[in-house]
Amino acid sequence: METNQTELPKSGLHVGEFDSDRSSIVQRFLDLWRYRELVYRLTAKNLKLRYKSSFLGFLWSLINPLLMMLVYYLVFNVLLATPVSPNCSEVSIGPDDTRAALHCKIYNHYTAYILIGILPWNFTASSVVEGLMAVLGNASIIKKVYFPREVLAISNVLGLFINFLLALIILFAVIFLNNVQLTPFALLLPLLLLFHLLFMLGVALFLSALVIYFRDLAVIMEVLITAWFFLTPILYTMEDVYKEWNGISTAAVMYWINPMASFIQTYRQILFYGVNPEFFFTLRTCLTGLVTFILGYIFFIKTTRSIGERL
Amino acid sequence: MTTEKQLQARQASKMVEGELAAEPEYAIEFSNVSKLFRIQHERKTTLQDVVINLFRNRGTSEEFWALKEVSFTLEKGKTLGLIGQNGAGKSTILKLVTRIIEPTSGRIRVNGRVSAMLELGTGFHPDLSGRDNIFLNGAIYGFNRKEMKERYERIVEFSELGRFIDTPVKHYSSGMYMRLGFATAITVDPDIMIIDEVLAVGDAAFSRKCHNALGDMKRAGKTLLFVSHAPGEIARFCDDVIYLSNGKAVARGTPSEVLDEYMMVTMNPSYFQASAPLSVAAPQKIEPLPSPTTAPVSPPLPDNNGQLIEAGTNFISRFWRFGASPRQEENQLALLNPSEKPCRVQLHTATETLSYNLSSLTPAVLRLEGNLNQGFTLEAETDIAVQRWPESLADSKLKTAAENWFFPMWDLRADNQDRLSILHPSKTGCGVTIAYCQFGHPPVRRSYLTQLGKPLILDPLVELGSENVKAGGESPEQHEKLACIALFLEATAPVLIEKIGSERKAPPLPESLELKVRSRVAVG
Repeated sequence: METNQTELPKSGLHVGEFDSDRSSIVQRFLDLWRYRELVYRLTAKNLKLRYKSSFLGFLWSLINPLLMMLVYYLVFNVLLATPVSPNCSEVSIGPDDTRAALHCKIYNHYTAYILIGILPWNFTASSVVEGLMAVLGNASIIKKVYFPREVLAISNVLGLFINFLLALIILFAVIFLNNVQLTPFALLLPLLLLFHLLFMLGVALFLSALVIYFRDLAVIMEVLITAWFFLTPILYTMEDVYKEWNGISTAAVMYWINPMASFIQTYRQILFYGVNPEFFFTLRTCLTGLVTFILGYIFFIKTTRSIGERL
Repeated sequence: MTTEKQLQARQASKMVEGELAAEPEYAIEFSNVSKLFRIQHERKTTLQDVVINLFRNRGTSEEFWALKEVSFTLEKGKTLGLIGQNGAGKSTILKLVTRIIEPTSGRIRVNGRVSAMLELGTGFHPDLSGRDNIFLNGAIYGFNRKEMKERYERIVEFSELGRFIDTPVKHYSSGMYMRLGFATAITVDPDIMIIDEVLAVGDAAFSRKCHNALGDMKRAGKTLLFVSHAPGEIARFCDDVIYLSNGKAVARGTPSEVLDEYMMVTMNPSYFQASAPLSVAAPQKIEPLPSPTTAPVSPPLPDNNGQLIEAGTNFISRFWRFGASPRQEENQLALLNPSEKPCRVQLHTATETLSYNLSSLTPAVLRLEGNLNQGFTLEAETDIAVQRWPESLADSKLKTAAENWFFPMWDLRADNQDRLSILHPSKTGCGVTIAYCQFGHPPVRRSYLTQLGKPLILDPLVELGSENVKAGGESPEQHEKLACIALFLEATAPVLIEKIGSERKAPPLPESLELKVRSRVAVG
């Protein structure tokens, strides 16, 4: 029985080793790495439970966005269709008809266009809603066993991220059926996905910790999510809302206050328009994701010290 | 928020760190740990509360030091018990060790994986199968996949779930759920095990299984941290006990030292004077007696206890008289000499006198054969307790309240599941000391407290440890072991005793227990 007992190293923190004087952010981060099996198990649990009791099971995660896509298509491309001539050109000839060419392309490939917006947004919205309750909803375990609490929020977001990745199969099928020409810029997708994930992890960590001290957040979030949805260029393009006052463009303001605008815009640029996302714009988007993750993580660690007493 | 004291403590601990790193033989180390709880009377967690309380005095919180400057180390492989009244800080220490809460000041170091049996089945998800839950639970304790795969088979085996292991846990019976929870917690094989009064749950058989498993862990060199209100459990498992009072460690020492102090504080001091005679008893051999030089004694006037006592007695006497045996089957008489000195017992029948030597605090059995079935009297040098053995269950209720109770022969084997129910019929509690007298060993003394009007149920097998007698006793080597003990109970106030048992099986009588007749003297 004792033969498979692993020897603990003499120094340095190992699984189960703990020193209340050495619980810095870095130590906590290493702790998280040691509990990676738990991240894996909880993520698997979340995925398993999500569709376990429904008849179509996992397929729902693919059918759902397709149905949404259909609704948006009917509303915005059939009922509220922008007047576009049937033989319009998708390639702009002069600087004046850039916008017309854009609208022409959107009109002709509306399903692909809208799905590229819906899928990342679904991931964002569900990460916020589920991440928010990740810690509060597991109060009973938290009060009984120690494990890095951030695992709860992280595994929630990871589960949703895997869902998102699987839904990308549908997206590429739609892009293919819709005859949207993919360019080499589509190869930037993994990079964008990674930083989008980091951004969502940061947001979920921040919110899951904040809601412990400020329970009203759960109620306010419903409104905030809806507002966020309409402030993100999903149903429209950034060019549609372009205005300029005193040298400041609305687009720039929106990009600054809403990182999701940058993310969705970049998804569209590399997958739909097939154009080069500007280097500095992409860099800023990625840095936003990274910084949000780091700040969210630090906020989580700092505020959940006394979580065992607060819950 | 760092106070000067904290800084000093930190510097001090850094200075000794070098030494400690060289020999990390500790499992848990607390240095000057304090924990402050702020009890907020109205916690402002909603917007409404914040707005309402904006203009109010904010000082509505109350400070409460759950722990004050507590320092201790627990060596690897040792068992430490925490004892103290409610609110003394026991649970706070457990929560600090398991990292559920963090200390306000001071330093805590834990060296090894901690598994806490605070509640069985914590973290089980009802929709997941038993298999998934085992792996999830292992991951919560910080085990990686390889380590869990090594343990998986053992957990399934221990839980006796068999083919139900792939069924969602929500379809399990509560018994299956408990078994899985316990199997996971104990077989997960942690370095440090924390037990917080979970042993009180479950039926007698389950409780026994828990005790056995903990005994195994202790032998396997695991470190145990144990919180209990039952002094019996503490005395049985712990190498060391810390007595906590109002957040301070008041005493540390061996269970007997600290438990006495704890009982002294929580109970009437006169209790300890009452329990004095039980302090010494070394194992004694039956020595041959010199043949009596005096003339044969005429049968003395016996006391008024002509009936056989069925299950223990509150009565000790020098003289006992027994009429003709009411039953035809073979009967035995169990004798207990509760005094410190061995004493000589003479048995008078109509035709002869037999003489025995009765060791102190050791069970002895007398076989009633031949002319002993026709009635006899017993005469002892000091007061002794007598009981018929094996006793019949029908008469196991004893309706008199008394301070001293004697059970000259107690069947320890698990088949009978004999337990002792002690009731002190008043609102206040009372202290009870029981001496468990095994043949050939010094008696083991344990103290208990009865609770407000509730019966105290003791399972002597559990209290004493089942190292001697395994449940069922199927294997040959266990058959050899002792199956009965004598029990001697002293209470600070009169208590009612009831013996609870299920089915009754006649025990095989151990040869070594029988009294050897040393001399026979024919009467005139």
